[in-house]
Amino acid sequence: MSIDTTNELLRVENLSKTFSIGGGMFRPKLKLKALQDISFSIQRGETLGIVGESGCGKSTLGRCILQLLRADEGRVLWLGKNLLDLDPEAMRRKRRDLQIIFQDPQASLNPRMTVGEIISDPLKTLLPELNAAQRRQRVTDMMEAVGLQPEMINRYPHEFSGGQAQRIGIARALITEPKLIVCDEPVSALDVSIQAQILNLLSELKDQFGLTLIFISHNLSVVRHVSDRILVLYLGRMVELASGAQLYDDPKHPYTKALLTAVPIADPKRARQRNIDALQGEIPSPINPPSGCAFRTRCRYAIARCAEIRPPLENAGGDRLVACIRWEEIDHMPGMESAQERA
Amino acid sequence: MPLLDVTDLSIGFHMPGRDLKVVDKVSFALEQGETLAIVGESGSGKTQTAFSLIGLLAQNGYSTGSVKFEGREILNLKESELNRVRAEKIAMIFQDPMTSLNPYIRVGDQLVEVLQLHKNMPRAQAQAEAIRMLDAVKLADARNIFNRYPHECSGGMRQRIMIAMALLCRPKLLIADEPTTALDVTVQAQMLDLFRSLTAEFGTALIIITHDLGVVAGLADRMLVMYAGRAVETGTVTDLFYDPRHPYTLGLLNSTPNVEVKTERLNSISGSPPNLEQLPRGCAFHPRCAFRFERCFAEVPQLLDFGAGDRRKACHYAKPLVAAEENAA
Repeated sequence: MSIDTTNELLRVENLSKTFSIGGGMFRPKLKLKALQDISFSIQRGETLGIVGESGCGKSTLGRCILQLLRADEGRVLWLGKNLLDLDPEAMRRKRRDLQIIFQDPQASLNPRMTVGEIISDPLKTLLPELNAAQRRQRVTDMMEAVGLQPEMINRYPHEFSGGQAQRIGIARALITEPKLIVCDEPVSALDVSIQAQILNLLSELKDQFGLTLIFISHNLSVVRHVSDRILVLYLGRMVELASGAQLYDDPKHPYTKALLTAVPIADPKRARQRNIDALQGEIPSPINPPSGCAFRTRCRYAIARCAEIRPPLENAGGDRLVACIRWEEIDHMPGMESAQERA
Repeated sequence: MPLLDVTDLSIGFHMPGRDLKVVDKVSFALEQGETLAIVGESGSGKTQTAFSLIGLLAQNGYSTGSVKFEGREILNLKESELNRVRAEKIAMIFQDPMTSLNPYIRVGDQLVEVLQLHKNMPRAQAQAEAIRMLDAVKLADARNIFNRYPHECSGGMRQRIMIAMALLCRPKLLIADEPTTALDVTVQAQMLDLFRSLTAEFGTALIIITHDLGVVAGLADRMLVMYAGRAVETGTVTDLFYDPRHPYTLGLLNSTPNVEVKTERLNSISGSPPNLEQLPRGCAFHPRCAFRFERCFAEVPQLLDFGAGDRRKACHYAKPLVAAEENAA
């Protein structure tokens, strides 16, 4: 991929993470390969969407980038410097630049702390030079920026609705003026009308503070709405990485194609016109994934070779990457013209 | 005569020192074989409405009004009579299949028990029927699944087992409460397919409770939109999606991102749903409504026919909303 490295904020190289699970006195531990050989980079000001179904490793990837989990292999380069080499103290200081917003807003707020204490907490460790008055000023400014009334500063989390609680979570993430925020399913627990408010807020704040976002979600409609580029994961592996327009209008990987046709469309005529050709079966266990291409057991294009080799990520033109040995062949099959050509 | 006729259904809960009303005079009807979606956000009363139909309200809950099934009143029936209606006439499936299956009993035995209890079927016959139903919900290798425990099945399989169990006695009405919310999108698509083919195959009427307008668009014939315990709009899915007449319906549609188009900004509804104990005066939606005028602050709008075919709305604003919104833009 041609990358303007001068504008590169984060680069992930060959990242892998394996969890050991189960095991007892006489039972061996099982290896769960949550992430295998993940590589991508993020430009300053970009929003990268990470999508996939449960167990695909999207949250693990977010946590490995933030060093909340330690990757087993690979590098996470932040402005060229490998975060895995940092000692805990140096990494703690770096956290000023890398923050996270969680899925369940209520569960991620300490019920015994006031909103003011929650939002200012990161400042105490990450910007100790500020005095109490300066901290308070920053907190009230930030509350206003995320659409919370500053008068609510002494209230407790339970007094807030889900949408407001998520605004508190966003304020806490933004208070240290980070450069990158990992949003892990930030709107999945919210009602539709509130979800739209939070999505709009995130895009406003992104412009206002010049943020770079990693947006993790299982909801492909939401991801399309917010992302510049999108990474699709399946069973811990990269399946496709492309710009939003490329991915949604002309998906190349059979899994991406299947995923997109499965998304329900809130338009009765379109929903009934569409030829939904649902994927068969469910995601295999990541403890014992299929050999070769992990998707082959559900792929209608799978051939014997798919079981033998792990498909490498190939450049499919225009900076997009696809991990399928047959993508080009499939692309030329009849009925596979892109959405744009159909329209 | 409609299969199900709900008139002025109200639901409340006795709480220490107070009384919480969660559903206020909801009316709707359902024909044989029809699919109705009840749509609303948390606290709208959609799930409690469904629960009250088959007497599943919590101990401190009560319901008033009328629910007629095949012309017979079934609201507040005695438990013994309700048990005949449940399963045999009306069955229900829930969001989380794991909590509705007994983890200690094999899948097959749980299915057989239903037929033995409700149909007095001998075990061998019940077993054959159960396996036939597991086949009908497109579970590969039904015999094998028959002998498994629930934890040995995946989420999608468990939801299929629940549907099989619900359909065992061939009910006329199936109520599904957020049946696909906990599932991955590819499995959700399989489930929606299954609902479509089963309602056609068995002629079952379906009430699907959901907050996902995508699910509604692909599955339902008609929809009922609820807000803060009241029905705000009802009509065919086509009418409500392309010409919503209640500002809340319009707001829900505008808030839903579409996977087929990238939008710059979603037209969200401002504010959040009201606290049911302190409902705003007049129309409960007025604090969030862009179309409100004086009357909305004082008078609760009734769900009325407004002369546009088989549809009703509870809104004082008379004109079509989509045109008004485009003019404003």
